Amino acid sequence: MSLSQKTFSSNFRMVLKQLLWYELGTISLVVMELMWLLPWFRSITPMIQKQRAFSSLFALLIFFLVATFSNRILRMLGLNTLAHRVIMIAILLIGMYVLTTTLVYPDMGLSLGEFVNRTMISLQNILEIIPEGFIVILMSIYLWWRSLIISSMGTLELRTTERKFRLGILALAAFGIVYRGHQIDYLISALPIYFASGLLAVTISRTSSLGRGITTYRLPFTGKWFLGMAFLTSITIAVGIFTSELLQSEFAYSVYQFISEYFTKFVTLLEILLLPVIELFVFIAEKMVEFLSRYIDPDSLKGIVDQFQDQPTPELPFEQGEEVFRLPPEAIAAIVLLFIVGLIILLARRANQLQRYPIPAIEDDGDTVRKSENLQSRIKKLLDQVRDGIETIQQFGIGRRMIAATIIRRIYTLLLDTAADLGHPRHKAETPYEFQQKLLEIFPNHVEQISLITNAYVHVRYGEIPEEKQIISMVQDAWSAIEKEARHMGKAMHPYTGK
Amino acid sequence: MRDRTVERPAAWSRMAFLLLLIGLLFERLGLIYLVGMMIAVFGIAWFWNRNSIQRVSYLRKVQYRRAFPNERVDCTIEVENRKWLPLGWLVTEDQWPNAVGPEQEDALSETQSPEQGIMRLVLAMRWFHRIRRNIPLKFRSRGIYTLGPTRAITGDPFGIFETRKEISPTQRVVVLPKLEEVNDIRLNPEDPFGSRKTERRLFEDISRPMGVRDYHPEDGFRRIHWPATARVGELQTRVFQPVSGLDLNVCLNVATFDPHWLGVNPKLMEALVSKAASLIYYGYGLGYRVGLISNGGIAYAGRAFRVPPGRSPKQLPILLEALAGVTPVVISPFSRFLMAQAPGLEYGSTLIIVTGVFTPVLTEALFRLKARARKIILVSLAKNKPPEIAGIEMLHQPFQEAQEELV
Repeated sequence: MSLSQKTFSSNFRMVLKQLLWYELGTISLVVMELMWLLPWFRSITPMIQKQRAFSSLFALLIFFLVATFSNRILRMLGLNTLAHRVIMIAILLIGMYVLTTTLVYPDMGLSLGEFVNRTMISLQNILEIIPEGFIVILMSIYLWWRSLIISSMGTLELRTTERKFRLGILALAAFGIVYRGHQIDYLISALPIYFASGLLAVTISRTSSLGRGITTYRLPFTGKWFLGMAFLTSITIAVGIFTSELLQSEFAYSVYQFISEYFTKFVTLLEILLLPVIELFVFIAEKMVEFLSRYIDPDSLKGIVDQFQDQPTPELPFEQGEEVFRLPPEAIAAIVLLFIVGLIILLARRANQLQRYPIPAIEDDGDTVRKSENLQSRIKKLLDQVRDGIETIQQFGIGRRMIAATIIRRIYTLLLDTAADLGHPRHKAETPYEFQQKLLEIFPNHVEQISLITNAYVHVRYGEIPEEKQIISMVQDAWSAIEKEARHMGKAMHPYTGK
Repeated sequence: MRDRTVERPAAWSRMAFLLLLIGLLFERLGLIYLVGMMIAVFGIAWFWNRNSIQRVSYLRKVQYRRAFPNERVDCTIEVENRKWLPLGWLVTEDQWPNAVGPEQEDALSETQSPEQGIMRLVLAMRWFHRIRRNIPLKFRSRGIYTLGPTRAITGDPFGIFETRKEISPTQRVVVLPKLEEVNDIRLNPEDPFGSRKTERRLFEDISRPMGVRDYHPEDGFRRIHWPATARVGELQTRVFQPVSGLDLNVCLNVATFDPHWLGVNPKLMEALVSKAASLIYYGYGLGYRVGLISNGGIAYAGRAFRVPPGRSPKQLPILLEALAGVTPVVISPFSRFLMAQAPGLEYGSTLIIVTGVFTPVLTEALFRLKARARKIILVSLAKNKPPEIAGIEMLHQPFQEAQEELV
């Protein structure tokens, strides 16, 4: 049985129509997202302000579409994960290079090395123009916040310490990438202390986590043991310093030189091979801009894209490529404002989490944390305002389902944390319904609430996201009731041992 | 044995290599310095972690593999590090049933299963160091229990990396059923398991001569009583006491409800097992060849079992161990099971039926069995007294709440 030609062409037209409709929707979505990104993008990239707004828009749009369609094609081809990832990363790198050379350094013909170097210098310059007072304020806020957290903690969490250790190394690596010159001395002097303190912190956290729950048998972590560990740490750091010196020795440099020669040759080969591809992308981008400019008069869209429309570009006070780099003051103000708001929200959330359980009893009456009732109420008020803001956003449907799912997942996580704190951690292999039985034993007076939270979590976990706001509020109420009892039970526990 | 190393060292080495590459390409001195520190710290940690679990042994020495409930058994755990590399920390986690746990009840860490705990030791070990911990155990309830396997978790002394490995195999310990006093069994003290004498001379006990008679041509020469022959002047033959045989089969019905699928009364079940064990012990002590059959599944096998009668020195431990492993899972209804086993029972052996429920079907089965057995004793722990059955001795000892302490 075969389809008639009429039926076939009809079906084909329908599929084509659907496909085009879908792609049109995708492009609209991308343009929408670019429309709110672009003003920010242009305001903090003064070099690009010289370019036409449409050039930026189309260049970014083309990159987005190339990445989208490449990914779709790769998925269709069914390549293995590694090959897929490698190709997508290659597209990202090429895109970064093409976009930057097209938008920031047009007609300069920069090599890859020069391009990376300039970008790094720009980043360094940006960091240098941040006011020092602002940095000191941020440091004060950070240290104050850390002091609150550390003074409220009963035990050291191994995972948290390890994560901080890793993040610290990444931060130091970022510093090492951005800076060179005399600032490196700061890094070199900080590294041994960082690693020594980091190792000791991880060691103590490990012993702290190992000692939890052991009541019968004595632990081996004595003062002698600690001295041994300190000795071992100092030896390790000494080896580290020696290795660092070795890596910078003449012998090491001769080895690097040998390797770098071959690497340079390899990069040159890569550039030769990739040049046609890059040229092709640049050519397509230029042609598209040219083609669209013929049909769309930029002046007619002035009202829509007014905020990023071509303005008479003020003369830059410095030459292109020069190390001095300045942001418009409005942009700096906006970044600073955003950063501070973000920081406050983060701190407020963290403070709210900390208030879930009573802080261990501290003998010192002068402790400010225990007396911060006003601060608590203020933070709570702030949180309510943030929640109201989120609800306002939700009215417009932006991420409403995602937020609902996140709230339920978060509540379930808090419930698990509470159970773990009360000495009943959930095993990896335990399903939510299996763990529910244990929860019922811990909170026998909250059978309905626990069932509600568990069911809601299971639905969210397996794809059924609640649409009704009422369900979320019911889950929140259930959690509040359980939390109240947990807090009451927590008070009865020993502040340090948790028993 | 399963060996697992957390795979983060590879991620750190990749990152260090990448940073070194960036540092060299863009002449970032700080990065090279950072990489040097990373190589030293993570290299030492990686090496230590890789070798830490090697040549670590864990030995669990339980003084007695078998014991009765509420007995105290000493257990020694020996952990040894047989290498030059010290261990900054070592955690051993030994799966341990609560029923055979340490005397101090909170010594085991909790697990997901309420019946299972974890014997968790946290140690730090020097080179060629052995640590010995003595842990008095208390065997709490009847059963066959598995100790282990033991998982060791260790790593570099700083605790950056960790390795896990199973280092000790499993070991079984048996808590035998509780034995009752002879008086509590309430058997007839004169002839507890039925008279050994029988009118039919099928079997004779050569250790019990009862007289002499004239020689018959079918008598063997070994039976001739030479002193009597000399005295009388005619051939005389020894006459021995006829017996029904020395076989005793204890038949245990593990069902505690009628029908059996209604559920299990664990206390009645334990009382039944205890009664059966006591009868076996008593019978074995009197010189009987004792066997056991039961319609209950046995632990780790899940099937009904039959231990043929025997008198070897190992027979009693085998029987008690079998009873220790009896589970309340009814493989087959008792009457049907009994009839299925009947052809295998030794002809003329004594049968002791231990049951907690009595049904008319069981009466029928006992009638049929009577044709094969020398004597049948029915030990009933049912609430209601079973009807009298001609030729079957009955001991009705209803299981009551007051008796629960026996269990």
